[in-house]
Amino acid sequence: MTPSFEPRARRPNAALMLALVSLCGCATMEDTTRVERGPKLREFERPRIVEGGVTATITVDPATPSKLTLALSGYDTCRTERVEEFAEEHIRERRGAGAGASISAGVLFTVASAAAFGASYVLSQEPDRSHLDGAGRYGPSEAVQARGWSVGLLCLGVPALAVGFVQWLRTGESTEVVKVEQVAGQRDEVCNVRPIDGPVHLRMEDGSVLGPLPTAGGLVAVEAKPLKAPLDGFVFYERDVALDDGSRSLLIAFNGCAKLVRESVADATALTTGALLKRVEAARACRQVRGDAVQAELGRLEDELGRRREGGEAGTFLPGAKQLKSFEEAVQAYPPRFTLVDGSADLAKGLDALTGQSVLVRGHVQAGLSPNIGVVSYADREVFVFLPPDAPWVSQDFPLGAAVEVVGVVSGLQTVGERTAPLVRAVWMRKVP
Amino acid sequence: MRGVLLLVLACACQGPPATDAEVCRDVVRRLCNSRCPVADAKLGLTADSDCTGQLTTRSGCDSDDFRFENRANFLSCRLPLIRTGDHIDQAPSCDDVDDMFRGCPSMAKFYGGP
Repeated sequence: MTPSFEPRARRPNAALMLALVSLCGCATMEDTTRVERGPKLREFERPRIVEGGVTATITVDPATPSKLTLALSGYDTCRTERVEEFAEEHIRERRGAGAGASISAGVLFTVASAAAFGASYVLSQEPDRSHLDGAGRYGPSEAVQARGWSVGLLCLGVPALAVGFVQWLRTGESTEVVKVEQVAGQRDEVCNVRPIDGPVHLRMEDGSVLGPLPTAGGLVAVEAKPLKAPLDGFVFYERDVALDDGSRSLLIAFNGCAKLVRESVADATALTTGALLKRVEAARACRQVRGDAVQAELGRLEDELGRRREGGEAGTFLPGAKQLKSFEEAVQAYPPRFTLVDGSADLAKGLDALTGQSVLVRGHVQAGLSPNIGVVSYADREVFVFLPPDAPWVSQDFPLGAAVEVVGVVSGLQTVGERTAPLVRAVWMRKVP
Repeated sequence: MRGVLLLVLACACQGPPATDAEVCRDVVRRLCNSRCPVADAKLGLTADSDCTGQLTTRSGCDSDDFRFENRANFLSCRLPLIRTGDHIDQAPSCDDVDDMFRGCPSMAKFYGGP
């Protein structure tokens, strides 16, 4: 006979018992640490040196107002910290949360195990003959069953007792006292000031950056002439250089003087009111450096400004010009001393020779810079032509490229925006047929 | 340690082995309790036959000195009969009885079938 069947006999639920036993080992300890601040032990000051910065002082010699000297200084920050020292208690509390329950369960299971074991000697030893299992064995006797329960209960009770006692023994608290410091306040001072050298960049108000400029002995000189815009500040190794109030004021004065030099104004009447105000502001700032040397320019500008406040916008006529009726009358009233036209021998005359003289200009309209200022080119040169707003001939249209001739007086060199050219105050202008 | 524990628990659920004669009579008791037509046909029994008496006599296990030639094989063949329970008065289902005879045709011969 060949066995070919699997029995469906019931097995003892040993897996469940083992799981219960294993669970007894999963009890953990709660571990918390509490910190309590104790009394203040002492208070002391602790000096420290922390990162400082770069500062600079500006000087401008009145004899050379177009040159600015920057003296760079590096410094550290000397910090004095007021430190308070405290005693601090670190109290560590360890508590087995399940110790009580574990011990209770352990005692219960162990006592039950002992009771079952004791009872096994009282119960019947006779096997259970009402059952005959797949292995051909009778069922266990009552005594054997009681001992089995005794072993199972003991397996639960003893680990539970062990875990409970271990947790109970480890429950408690320990205190560790340590010293801690707390910075209660601090005081910073500039210290270790010394000249420093390195590349200095100039940051302009229009956002551009010039440089680097080399330093020698912590000093760097800046000339006003190459500057195309007001100087806003200095950068040293990508850090802004701090300026004191005096230096900041001198920088504004230097910018004012640079503007006066950079932008020529032959005739203040040719300026728009906005440009005039800016130039007055620049002249006033420049006075801090150049003093009386700029007073004449400032007076001229302020006079023009005062005249406009009383009489309106620019529009002054040359003497007698308002009564003129034609180009020919203008030529008679202001007979040209020089003729500025292609091929003329007067083209070789310098600006100094032309300034204040009547001229006749023949050329083409090249641009309009403002309602009152246009550009007329001739030969390879150009002049600004200032047109009195109320002149009767101004109502004519002068399109770009139109051939024109102008009778007027040269005022000098004028800057309008980015362009600089001689300014001619027109007495009359007309299109050439 | 865990093996010892399992052994102890296993021993707690078993009693001593029954004799071969008791095992043989246990099978007779179960077959006769169920009285399935398949069993009657295999064993050559009629409705009014003395099932227990005939089978114990034919197999020879009416004597307490009876011994199997191979106890293990007999126990294996008996397994289908205790699927519904190992209580001695439990009657197996006819399907289980049929399973036993199909798995162990020699059981019919052992109990004196035609």
